Amino acid sequence: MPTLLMAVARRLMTMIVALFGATIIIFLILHLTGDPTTALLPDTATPSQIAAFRHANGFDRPIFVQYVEFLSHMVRGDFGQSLRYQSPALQVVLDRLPATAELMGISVLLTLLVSMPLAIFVAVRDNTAARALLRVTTVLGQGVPGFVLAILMIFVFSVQLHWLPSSGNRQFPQDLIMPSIVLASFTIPQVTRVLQTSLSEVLRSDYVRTARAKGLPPRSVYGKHALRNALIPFLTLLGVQVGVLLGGSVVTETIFGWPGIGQLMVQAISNRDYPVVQAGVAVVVVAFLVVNTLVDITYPWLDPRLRRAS
Amino acid sequence: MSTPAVTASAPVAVPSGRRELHGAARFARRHPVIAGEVVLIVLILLVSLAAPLLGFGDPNHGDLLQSVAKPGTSGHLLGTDVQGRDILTRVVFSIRTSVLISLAATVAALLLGLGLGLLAGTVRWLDTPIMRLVDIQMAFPALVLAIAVVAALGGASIVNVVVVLTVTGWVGYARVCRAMVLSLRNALFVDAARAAGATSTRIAWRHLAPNVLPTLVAMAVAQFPMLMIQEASLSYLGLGVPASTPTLGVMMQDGQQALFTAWWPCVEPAIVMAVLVLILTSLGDYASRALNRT
Repeated sequence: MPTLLMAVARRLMTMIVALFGATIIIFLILHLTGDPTTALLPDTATPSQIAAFRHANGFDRPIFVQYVEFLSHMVRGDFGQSLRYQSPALQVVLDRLPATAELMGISVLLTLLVSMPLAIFVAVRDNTAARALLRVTTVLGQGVPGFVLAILMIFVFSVQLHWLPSSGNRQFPQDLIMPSIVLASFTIPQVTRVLQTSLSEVLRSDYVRTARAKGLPPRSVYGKHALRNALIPFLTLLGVQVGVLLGGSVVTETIFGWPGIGQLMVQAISNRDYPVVQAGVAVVVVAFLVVNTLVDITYPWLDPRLRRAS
Repeated sequence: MSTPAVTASAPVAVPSGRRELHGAARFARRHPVIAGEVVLIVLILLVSLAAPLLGFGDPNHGDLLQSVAKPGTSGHLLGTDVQGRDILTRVVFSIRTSVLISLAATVAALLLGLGLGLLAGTVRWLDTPIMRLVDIQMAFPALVLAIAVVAALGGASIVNVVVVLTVTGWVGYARVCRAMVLSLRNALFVDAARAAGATSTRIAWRHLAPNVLPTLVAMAVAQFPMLMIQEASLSYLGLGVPASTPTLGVMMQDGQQALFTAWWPCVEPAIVMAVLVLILTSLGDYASRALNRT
């Protein structure tokens, strides 16, 4: 057990280092060009206004001092006031969290519903036709960019057939259909491919052959022996896919006018609302890191072999 | 795409150009789909790169009297957009911009990843800092990092897009390069070079890099279409090239606002994008499978 605790501690350390590095990048969003005053003030500001603003916000101090202050505020969740919404930037971002979470949750569900049966089918059949089906699906999935799929779907289902709303989230559940399909299209190809590979590998292993030789029914061989072991690389991948979904949601939300964090960040950049951009990036990074750390920490519990190895 | 292995079976006196044609024909017979895709992509690239020579005019020139002309209107094969600009011309110039940006970013990301990967693998005290940098970068979903970098660089320009794509793209190369270097470091040929008095720098560049490069190039072939997608996403979101430069993403963004009255300004570039990326993805898939076989 102590070795397991050590592994968990090491994993947490990596997360903290990455988080610390991320704060530098988030700080630089506003400070890379040197002086954020020009970015924050409108072009019409007079030189005396600029000087006053610079001094009032402490932008005339050494950059290291500014970073430490930024960090100390950030740890307390203070990213400053949103320049557009006139409320704390973090609050503006967190208000959009439920919409993004809803979209991502449905997309994960959709990914599982499509990927698992497809991967199991291909791995169990294991013939040329099944593998060709898999390759076509993955190349199509990776090859058609999400926003192209989105536009084609809007054209067909909203413009031509008038079946689904083209944007917004006011018509539950019709409003969710197209955005969640588009978002799931980011994850389905890779998830299917990895699950199929690991399942095929397990099916070729000795203990599955033994289970078959004992005369166990296929359901028990596939369900109890094979699938459970094939799920481990699949779980790790799901952690990575959360990042893909977070990135994909930026595009998806903007296209479908879905009021989540992604759409907020894109708007905040055009509005030069830097505190909101910083708070948004921070929330996404923290969520992503926490999910991945949890995945890494959990799977020694799922796979006793990893417990002994670490 | 000729295969040098053909020389063995070819007649002795065939001139080399012909021999290569022979090889290409044989490749085409074995892999008709791949060969077709190669021909198609080369054609598309040639047309878009030579666009000014082929009589395509200014992609930003619009005739408001010709606003949203239907596809097939004389002089406008793909129709015109809301501002009366010829869509075919804009598509051709868009492909040119997208390909040049993605190519520049792919090469830059590969070189950066190769350099940092070699450093991490050969210089012991640099290993940890470089790998921590990789960890930090992995904490950002690619598009979110792109947003952060665009915001930090202060807006849209072609150079900024290349920088963004490079920054988001180098990590994979660096990790693979480092891993390969770590396993090659104790190989016999490295020992031999060291015994012959080669410096570490020379070993890295002349002995390790050439061994790592083929794998990285295959990765680059697979990554190129992904960078094209990212470039188009950024342009679509208004975070890529300035709107005055036509790209497929910018065209879709423009066209989407009028989608309910005229579909072609938005859907046509979307289809072009899908076809282009599909072909490139399929070629990348073939490249990585071919590499795995050897």
